[in-house]
Amino acid sequence: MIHRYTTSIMNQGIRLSRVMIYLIGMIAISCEQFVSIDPPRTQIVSEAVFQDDQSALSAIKGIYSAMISTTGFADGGGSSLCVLTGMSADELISYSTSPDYNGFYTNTLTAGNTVLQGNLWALGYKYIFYANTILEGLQNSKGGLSQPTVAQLEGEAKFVRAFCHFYLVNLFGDVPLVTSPDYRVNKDASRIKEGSVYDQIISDLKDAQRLLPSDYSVSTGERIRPNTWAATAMLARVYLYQKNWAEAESEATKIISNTGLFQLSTDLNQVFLKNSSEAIWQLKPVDPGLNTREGNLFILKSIPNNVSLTNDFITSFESNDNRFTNWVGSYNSGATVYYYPYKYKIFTGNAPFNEYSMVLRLAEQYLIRAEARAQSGNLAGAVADTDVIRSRAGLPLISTIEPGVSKNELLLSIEQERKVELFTEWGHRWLDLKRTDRATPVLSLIKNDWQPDDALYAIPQVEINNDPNLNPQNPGY
Amino acid sequence: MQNYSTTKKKIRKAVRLAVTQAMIVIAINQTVFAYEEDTLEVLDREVTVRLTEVTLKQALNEIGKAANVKFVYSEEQLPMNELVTLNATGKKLRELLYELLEPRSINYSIDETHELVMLKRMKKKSSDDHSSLKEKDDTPRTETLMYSRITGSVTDGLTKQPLAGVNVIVKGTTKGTSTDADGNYVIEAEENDMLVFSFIGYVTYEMRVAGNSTINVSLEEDSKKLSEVVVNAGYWNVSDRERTGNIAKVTSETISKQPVSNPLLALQGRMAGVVITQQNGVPGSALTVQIRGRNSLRSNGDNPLYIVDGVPFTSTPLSTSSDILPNGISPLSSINPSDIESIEVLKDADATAIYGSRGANGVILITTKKGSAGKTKVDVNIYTGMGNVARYMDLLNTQQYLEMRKEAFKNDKVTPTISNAPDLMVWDTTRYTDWQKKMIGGTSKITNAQTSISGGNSNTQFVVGTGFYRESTVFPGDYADTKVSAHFNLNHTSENKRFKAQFTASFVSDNNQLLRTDLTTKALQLPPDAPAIYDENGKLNWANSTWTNPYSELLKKYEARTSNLIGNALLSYKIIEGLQVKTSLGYTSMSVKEFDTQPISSQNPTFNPKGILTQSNSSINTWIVEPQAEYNKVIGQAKLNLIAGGTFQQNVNEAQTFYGNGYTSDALLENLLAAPSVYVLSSNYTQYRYAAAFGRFNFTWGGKYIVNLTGRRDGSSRFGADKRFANFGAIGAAWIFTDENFLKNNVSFLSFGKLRWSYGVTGSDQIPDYGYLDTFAPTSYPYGGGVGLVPTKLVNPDFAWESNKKMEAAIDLGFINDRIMLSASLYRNRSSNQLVGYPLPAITGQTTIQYNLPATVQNTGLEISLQTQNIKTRSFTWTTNINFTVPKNKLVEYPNLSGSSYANTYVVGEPLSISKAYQYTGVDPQTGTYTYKDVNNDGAVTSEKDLQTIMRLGQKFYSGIQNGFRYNNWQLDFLFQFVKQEGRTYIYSPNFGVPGNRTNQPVAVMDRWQKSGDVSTTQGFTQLPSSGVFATAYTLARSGENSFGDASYIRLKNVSLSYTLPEGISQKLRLQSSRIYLQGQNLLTITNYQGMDPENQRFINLPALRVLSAGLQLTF
Repeated sequence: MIHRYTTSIMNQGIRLSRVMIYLIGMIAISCEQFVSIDPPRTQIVSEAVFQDDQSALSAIKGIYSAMISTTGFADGGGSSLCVLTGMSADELISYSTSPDYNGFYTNTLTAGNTVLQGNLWALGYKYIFYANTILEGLQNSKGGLSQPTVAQLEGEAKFVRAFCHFYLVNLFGDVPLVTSPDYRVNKDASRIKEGSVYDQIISDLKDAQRLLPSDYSVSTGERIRPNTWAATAMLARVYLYQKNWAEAESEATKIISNTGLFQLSTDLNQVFLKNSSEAIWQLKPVDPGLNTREGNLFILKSIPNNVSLTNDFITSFESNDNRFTNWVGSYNSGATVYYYPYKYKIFTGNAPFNEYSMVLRLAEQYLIRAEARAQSGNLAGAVADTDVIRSRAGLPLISTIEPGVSKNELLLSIEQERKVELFTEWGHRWLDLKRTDRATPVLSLIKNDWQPDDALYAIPQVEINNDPNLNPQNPGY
Repeated sequence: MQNYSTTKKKIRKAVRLAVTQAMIVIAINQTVFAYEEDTLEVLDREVTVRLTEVTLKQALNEIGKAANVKFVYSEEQLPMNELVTLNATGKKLRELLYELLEPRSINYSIDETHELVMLKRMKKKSSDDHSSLKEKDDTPRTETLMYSRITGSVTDGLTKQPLAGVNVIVKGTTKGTSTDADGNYVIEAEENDMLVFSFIGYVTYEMRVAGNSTINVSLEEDSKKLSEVVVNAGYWNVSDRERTGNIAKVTSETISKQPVSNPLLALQGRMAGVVITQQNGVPGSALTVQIRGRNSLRSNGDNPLYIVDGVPFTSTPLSTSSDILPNGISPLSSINPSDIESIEVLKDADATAIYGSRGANGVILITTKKGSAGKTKVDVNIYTGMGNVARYMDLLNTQQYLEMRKEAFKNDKVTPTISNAPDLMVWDTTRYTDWQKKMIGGTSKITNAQTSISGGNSNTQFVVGTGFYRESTVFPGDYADTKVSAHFNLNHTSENKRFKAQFTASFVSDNNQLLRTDLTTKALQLPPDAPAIYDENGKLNWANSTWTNPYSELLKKYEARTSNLIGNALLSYKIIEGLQVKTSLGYTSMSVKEFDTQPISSQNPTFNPKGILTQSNSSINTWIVEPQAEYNKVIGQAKLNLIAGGTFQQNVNEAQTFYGNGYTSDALLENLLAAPSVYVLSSNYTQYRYAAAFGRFNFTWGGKYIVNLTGRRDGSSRFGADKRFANFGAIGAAWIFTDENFLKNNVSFLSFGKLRWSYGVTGSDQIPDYGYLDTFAPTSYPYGGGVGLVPTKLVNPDFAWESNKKMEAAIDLGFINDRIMLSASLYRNRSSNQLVGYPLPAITGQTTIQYNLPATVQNTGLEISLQTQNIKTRSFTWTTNINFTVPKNKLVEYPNLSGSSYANTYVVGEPLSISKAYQYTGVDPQTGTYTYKDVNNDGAVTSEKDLQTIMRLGQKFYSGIQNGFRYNNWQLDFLFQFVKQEGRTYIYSPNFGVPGNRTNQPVAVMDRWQKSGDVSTTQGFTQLPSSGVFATAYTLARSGENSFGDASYIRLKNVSLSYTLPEGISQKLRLQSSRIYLQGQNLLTITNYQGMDPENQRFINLPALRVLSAGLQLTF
C-alpha cells in the first residue's frame, strides 16, 4: 500500500513536472516575441529619416528650430552668444544677480561657469553633432533620397558645422574638431590648433558654397535657410579673420555685386524686418508670443534687470548718427537714463512674425571688404566701402572729410564703424577686439578686472573632467 | 489512546453531548432530528462508496453523505490531505471506518443524538486493542450523571461584539461546544467542572461552573501568535513563522491611525531599512522612497517596485509642468489609504528575486481591503483636521536687514541708487512684514469621510466603499486637493470549493487645485521692508516695477486632475487536491490633466502682458496577465509547494503638452481654443513590454527546516535585441531551532527561535524606453513651415541589466510566549554592472549615454526590530514596537575612477552620498572673508585640487519607537522617529544669495565681520552678487565645510488617541461600535537644524506640515 501510494505520487510528480516544463517553455518562447516592440510612434528611427526627402529635410530644419528656440548660443536671448560676448566686451552692462552671468560682464569667468558650459560650449557642439548626424545619415542612406536633396542637406549641414566651429574656435581658442557623430571617437578628442580648425571650416564652407542653391527657393523665398550666399558671406568673414585679404575681398565682392538679391535698406528701421533686402541669412522665430528674443530681452520697460548699453558704447556714436536715433532706445527712471539696443522693435507679439533674428547681412560684407582692401593697400576702395555704410547712417563721408586718411587711421575707422553698425549682433564686437589684438588696449581702460588672458574664455571644467584630453586649460583659469 | 473498551464510558459521555476542541462543526441544527425515526444505530448503517485517490477529507465527506452522519475533526491534527482509495458496497460504517482510520492512527467516538462522528488522533498505538472496535457497541446511550445545563454568551473584551465560533469545553474532557453566530452557547457540565473558552487570536479563559447556570465571558484579544500572522509575499502568502525572506508589514490598523493622504507617508519611521522622505508639504507631491539604501549611481534609479493587488503600479512621479510640485505628482497619492488592508515591503533576495529584473530596489506590495463573511456591516469614518508649518526660520527683521544692506554698500564702497537698491532708496524702510507668516503661515483644513459596506456568506463576500478627502493649503487663498474615491471587492467560491474568483476595483478622482509656485521661496527671500501688497486702489502694487509682487503668484493657478483606476481579477481552479491553476489579470489606467495659467491680471501691467496657458495631458495604461500553477503536497514530515507561472505586461505612457498664449482676456484662459496661438510643446508615446517565466520551490521538513528557491527569467523591451533576457533567482533557508527536542522543553523563556539566510540576484531595468534605438524626434516648434527633426540621443545598443546580489542573515526570537519578539537582520547588497547615463564631454553632442559601468555599489546594514507586550492585563495593555537601522553605503569598486568623469563625485571606499568640500579655516579677521585651506599649496583655492575634505551626508542611523497603551476603552499610540544625519545648511542653498544682497537672510548672519580684527562666524556683507572678494569667497563657501551641518532630528511623528464608546451607549444608538479619536502627525521636532525641515533639507519647498485631526468611526 505504501508502495502504491508513493508510486502514485511519483507518477503524479512526473506528470506535473512535465506540464510545468511545457508551460515554462511555452511562456519562454512567447516572451521572445512579446518583448520585441514596435519603434516609438513619436520618434523616427534614424534609418527611416534618410529614406525620403521630406523627413530628411526635416532633419536640417530641426537644427534651425533648435538654434532659435534653445536658450543660449543662437537664440538671441540673455544666454546667447550675442549677449554674453556683448557683456564681455564694452557693449552691455549686466544687472543679473547670478555670478554665472556677471562673470562675463566683469571678465571674471571661471571654468566652473555653467552658462559658459551649457549655453555656449555644449550647445555649439550639439548643433555640430546634429549636422554630423545628417552627414552620416546621408552616407548610410539606403536610397530613397533625390540628388538635389542630398546636395542641399550636405551643403546646409556642412555650413552649420562650419558656422559653429567658427564661433567655438573664436571664443575658446584651440578646440576639438568634430566631424563625426560617433561618440566613441569624440569622447576622447583633443584640442587642435586654431589653424587646423579653420582649414576644416573653409573646406566645409567651400563645399556648402558649391552644393547650395543661389536663391531662397528652398525656403519659398524666405531668407531663413543658408544658401550659397550665406556660405560665401561666412567664407569672406573667415578669410578676413585669417588675414587672407585677397580671398576675403573676393568673397565679399561676390555678394556685394549680387545687387539683384542684396541691397542695403535705406531706412534703418527696415534692416531687421523679415526677409529684408540686406539679409543673407536670418533665423525665423518659432517661440510663440515673441518676435525675436533680442527684442524681448533688450527693450526696457522698467529699470533693467538683465542688460542695458554701456555709457562707453553710447558715447562712441558720432553726433547725428542715424543709427543712434534708430537703433538705440532709452528708458528714463527719474534722472537716470538707460539705453538699450533697439534694432528689433517688437517686445512681444504673436505670429506671424514681423522681425527675424539676423545672422548674416550685407553691411558686414561692405565692412569686410573695406578692411581687406585697407589691409592690402587699396585705401580708396576701402574708403568707398566704408562710406557706403556711413552714408546710410547719415554721417559725413570719409572721402569728404578725411580724403588723405592713413591706413591705420582707416582701419580704426572701420573698427569704429563695425562697432556702431554691428553692435549686439552675433558677438562681432568681442571677436573684432580679439582678432585685432585690441581687446586689452580697449577694455583694460574701462574694465576693472581685465586681464589679457580674458580674451579667451575658459574651457569648462566639467568638459575637462569628462575628457581629460582637453587639457591644458586656457591660460589664466 | 487507551484500549477502546476502557474508554467506552468517556465516549458515551461525549456521545450525549458535543464536540472536541478546535473542531469544525457542520450544520448541527439541520441534522439534529433528521433521523429520529431511523432505528439503525449510526455505526450499523450500510454504506456504498467508490473513491479513487481522493483526500481523506473528501472521503469522509462522501462517507458522511452516504451514511447520513457528520464528521467532526480538527484539520490540523489529522492527515486530511492524504490520498485514499475506498471501494465499499453495503459495508457497515463501523467496518469502513476501521479500515480507513485505523492505519492512520485515528480514533473516533460517536454522538448518536446528533449523528456525529468525532475523530481524534490516537496518542499511542498498540496492536492488541483493535478488536473491540469491530464489535457492536452495546452499552446504553444514556447515563444519569449530575449535569447541569449552562448557558451564556461570549463577547470581545474590547469591542463587546459577540464572538461566534468560540470553543467552550469542559476542562479535562473532550466535551465541548462552540458559540453560535450571536455568541451564545449551551453546555452541560458538573458543578466542579472548569469551562475553558478558547478562540484563535484571543487569550484562552477558564472559569469554574460553581453552580452558575449562566456564564458570560468576554475574551481579550491575544497579540497575534507568530504562526498565525500571514504575510503577503506577492505570488504567495506565507506565515510569519515559516517565512525565509525579509518582509515588513503595516496593516490598515496602523494606517488608519495617521491623518495622511498618501499611503506611503503612513510607513514613515515604522520599518527598519525603509527611508521615506517627504520632499514637500504641498498636497500631492512626490516622495522619495529608498529600501536598504542607494543601489544605483543614477539618482533616479532607486525606486522600488510597487504592486497593487498584483498589478504593477507606476513608481516614477507623474509629469508636471509646474514649479509647485518640483518632484512631480506622487502616483501613490491616487490610492486611498482607507482602502488599504496591508502594505508589505519585501527587502531581501529571497523575497524580491521572484520579481527578477524589477526587484533590485525592493518591492512594496499594497493589498486593498477584501470582503469578509458575516453580518452585513456598515462602517463610517469621518475626521476633520488642520495642518500648518511647524517651524519657521529666524530671519532678519527690517532693522537688521537695513543694517546689513547699508553695511554691504559701505563694504563695497558703492553708493546705493534707485537702480541697485530700491529697497533702500524707493521703498518705505519703516515697513516690516513677516513674509513667512504672510505667505506660508495659513492653516490647511482637512476633511475626510469614508464609508464602506461589507458582508457575505461563506461562498460570497463583498466590500464596497467610497471616500471623500479634501485638503487645503497653508498659502493665502483658496487652494485645495479634493479626492473622491470608490473601492469594490467581490470574492466568490464555488460550492465544491474548487473554483474561486476575486474581483477588485479601485477608483480615485483627484482634483488638485493649487497655485503655480511654492511661495516658500518668496517667504524666505522677500526683504522685510518690501512694499505693501495692494495699492490704495486695491490693485496689486508693483511699486514702479521695483519688485515682483508675490501675491501675483496667487493669481497664477495650477490645477491637476488625476483619475486612477486599478482593476484586478484573480481566478483559480483546483484541478485535483493540491494542484491549483490560477490567472491574475490586472489593468490600471491613470490619467493626469494639468492646467497651468498665467493670467494678465497676475503680470506687471507695464509690460503689456498677455495671458498664457500651459496644458498637459498624460496617461499611463498598464495591463498584466499572470497565469500560474501551484502544487502543494504533504508527505509525512515533508511539505512541498511548487509554483510556476508567467508574466505578460505592457505599459503605454502618453503625454502631450500644449502652450497657448496671446490671450488678451483672462476670461477663457483655460480654453486652448481661445488662445490666439497654440503650440504643441511635447508629444510622447512610449511602450514598454515585459515578459517572464517564474517559479518557486518551497520545501519544509518537520515544520522546522525550510528551503525556498525562487527563479525568474525576464525579458524587457527596454534593452536591445541581444540583451533582452536574463535570469534571476534566490535561495532562502530557515531553521526553527526552538522546535528541536533539545531546546523545546529545556529553555522555557525562549518561545520561538529561527535562523534565516538568503542569497540571490535581482536586477533593475529602470531606464528610459527605446534607449537602444537610434532615433530622431520632432523639435518643440516647426521651422519654416515644416516639422524639424533632431537626433534624440547617442546610442549604445549593447547596454544590459544592472544586477544586484543580495545576501541576508537574520535571527528571529520570541520570548515568554512570544510576548517579546526580536528580529535582527544583517544584509549586504551589491549592485554591479551599473546602468548609468554615463557622462560624456559635450563635444560628443550629448552629455550622457546609457552605459554599463564596471562599478560596484554596496549597501550593508543592521536592522533590528523589537515588539514587546510590556503590560497585559484585562483593563490595561502596553505594547512597544522599536525599529532600528544602521545603514552603510559604500562604493566598493570603480576601475579607473580617477580617470573618469566621476573623479570628483565619488571616492572608492566611501558612500555615494559624499560631497567633497574645501577645508574651512574660518573668517579672515583682516579681510573679513571665509577662508579655506589651500591643500596643494599652489597659492589658490581652486576646485578639484583643494576639494579634498570628504563630507558624509546621509543617514548614520535611524529608528522609530512606537508605544501603544490601552486602558479599558481608551487607546493611545505614539511614534517617535529618530534620525542621525549630516545635512546642508543655508549657505549651500542658492535660495539665499551672498549675505548683503537684496534678499533676506537667517539671523545667524548678523554675527559677521565688520572691520579689521573682528572675529566672527559670518563673512562681511556685500551687495555685489558675483564680483569682489566676498562674492568669490562665498562661491567657495557653497562647497565649503561650513555649508554642512548636523541635520539630525527627533520627531514625534504620530499620536493617536481614541475612545471606544461603552457597549451600552453604542447599543442605544443601534450601533455595533463607535469610536472617537484625535490624531496628530509631525507634532514636534527636536533638532539643531537651521532650516524649516531637517527631513527635506530644502529652502525652496514647503516642509511637511504638522497635522491635527479629530474623528469619529461608527459601525452599524
